Amino acid sequence: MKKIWPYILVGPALIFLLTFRVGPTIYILILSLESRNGLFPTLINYERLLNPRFIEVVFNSFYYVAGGIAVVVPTSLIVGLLLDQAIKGRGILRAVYFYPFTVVMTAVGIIWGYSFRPSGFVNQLLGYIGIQGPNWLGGSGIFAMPALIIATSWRYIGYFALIFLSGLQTIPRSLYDAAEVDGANSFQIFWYITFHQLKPITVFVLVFSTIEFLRQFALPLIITKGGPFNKTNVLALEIYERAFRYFEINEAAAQSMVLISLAIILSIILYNVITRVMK
Amino acid sequence: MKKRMQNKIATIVLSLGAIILIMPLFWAFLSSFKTTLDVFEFGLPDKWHFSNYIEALSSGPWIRYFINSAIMAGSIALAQSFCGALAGYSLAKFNYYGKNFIFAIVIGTLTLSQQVVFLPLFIVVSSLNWIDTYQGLIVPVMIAPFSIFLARQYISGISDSLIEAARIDGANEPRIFLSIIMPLSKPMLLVIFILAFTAFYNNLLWPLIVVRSEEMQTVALALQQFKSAWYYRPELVLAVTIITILPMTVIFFFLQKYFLQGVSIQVEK
Repeated sequence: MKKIWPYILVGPALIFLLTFRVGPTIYILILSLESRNGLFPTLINYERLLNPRFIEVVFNSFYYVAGGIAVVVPTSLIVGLLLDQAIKGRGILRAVYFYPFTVVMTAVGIIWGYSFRPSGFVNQLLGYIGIQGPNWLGGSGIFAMPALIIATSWRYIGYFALIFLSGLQTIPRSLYDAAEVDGANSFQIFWYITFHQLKPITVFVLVFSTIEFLRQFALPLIITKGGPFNKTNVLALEIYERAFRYFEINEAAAQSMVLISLAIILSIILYNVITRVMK
Repeated sequence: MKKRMQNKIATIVLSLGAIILIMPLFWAFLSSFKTTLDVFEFGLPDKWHFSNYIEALSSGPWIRYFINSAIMAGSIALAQSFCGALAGYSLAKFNYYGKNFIFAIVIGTLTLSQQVVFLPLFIVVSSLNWIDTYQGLIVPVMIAPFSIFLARQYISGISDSLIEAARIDGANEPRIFLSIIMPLSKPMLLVIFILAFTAFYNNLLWPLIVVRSEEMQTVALALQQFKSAWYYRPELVLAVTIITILPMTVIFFFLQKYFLQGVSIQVEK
């Protein structure tokens, strides 16, 4: 009797994960190998992905993720480090930085969509300091992805900054004291203690910010709808349009497999990090 | 002396950053009281048009949308914390055949969130005939690998001797779970609840896929529909936007401590 309890406890979760995560993933793999007129197995849906439009979608997703990481990770690390100082009003500042994370995705999209209009408030503010802002979401579209990256980062910087901050606060004070006694300068202290101790947290932030940008759907949908000229069309958005607007389920399934594979690669990285940290 | 200078600079930089961060929300708030003509200008409204809010909210059953969001996010959050704790207890405090494999499934599905597998999940929901129902909105996302992981990490930290003592006293596992694990896991349960509630109150993709009828819409979805229908009245769109942000803002204001604690629980290993 005693032996079966752990199975009973974990059972619901396991059955659930198999039914709603693993099972559907396998099913979509099968769908992706089936042609519209019932031929199975076939790679035709994957061959269809090799068109310039979808290749651009994959490129856009990588651009979005890379740009997002480049903005979110350093900025949140800096904010985290600054919040770790003994400053006045730290409680309020922490709350303000976290606050964007609690805003409805749709609202984030609407506000930034309006803000990036040619005469929107972003360009008005840039105008005050003498910069003529570009046509962010229109024109040839080269500024659309940067705008989208800024809008998305806005929501996550505070969240990840607080993750860094919690990491910083777990570093034992004695390490710093010992380094000071040994006469280390502040750069050495940062590099050999802070940065080294933060490594697992940095990996955590890297992986999770990658996931957030990779699976992002609501903000591209609302701010740019993938435009102009397909310049901000990312994987989640393209799969949604394929499946729910054009009803090409098999092709959407093949596209889904691309997104799922990327997510699984991230899971493997995460699994390695987690099992290493836990040992 | 040098430290003090450093702290001053940190305060100034952080305050500037915070102002920039809050600016878009502040702009949206001010503009929601303006007219179609000056809505995109930055600055105080010439006249505060509170009527924007009345006009916008009378466009549809907004109370209904809020109730839908609360039912969806609340049930998901409740289920995720309870089921997470059950599975977390099993993975943290027992040794059994297949445990590592189950743990690998949990970590392996960590990134397969509903936003990644939404297409297969849609097919599951529609084959169960759950499109446009509460169970369709709730059941497929009732358990999240992330909450199992958080629960496992947290429960690992609970001392074994407490559990052993209870076992010697003859308590069975459900009893140990309810009278030792659950009470000691309160902060963790609250954290999972808050994170899940926030995530699903704010989520647009999931209701967009599951919901068809107007009376099943959640706040995030209704706001998107409102924006498409009323695009020529941006001040009304902004009024509704502010209203949809409000509930989470109030919750965040009062439960701040737990939101921030939620972040640090993720980090402690």
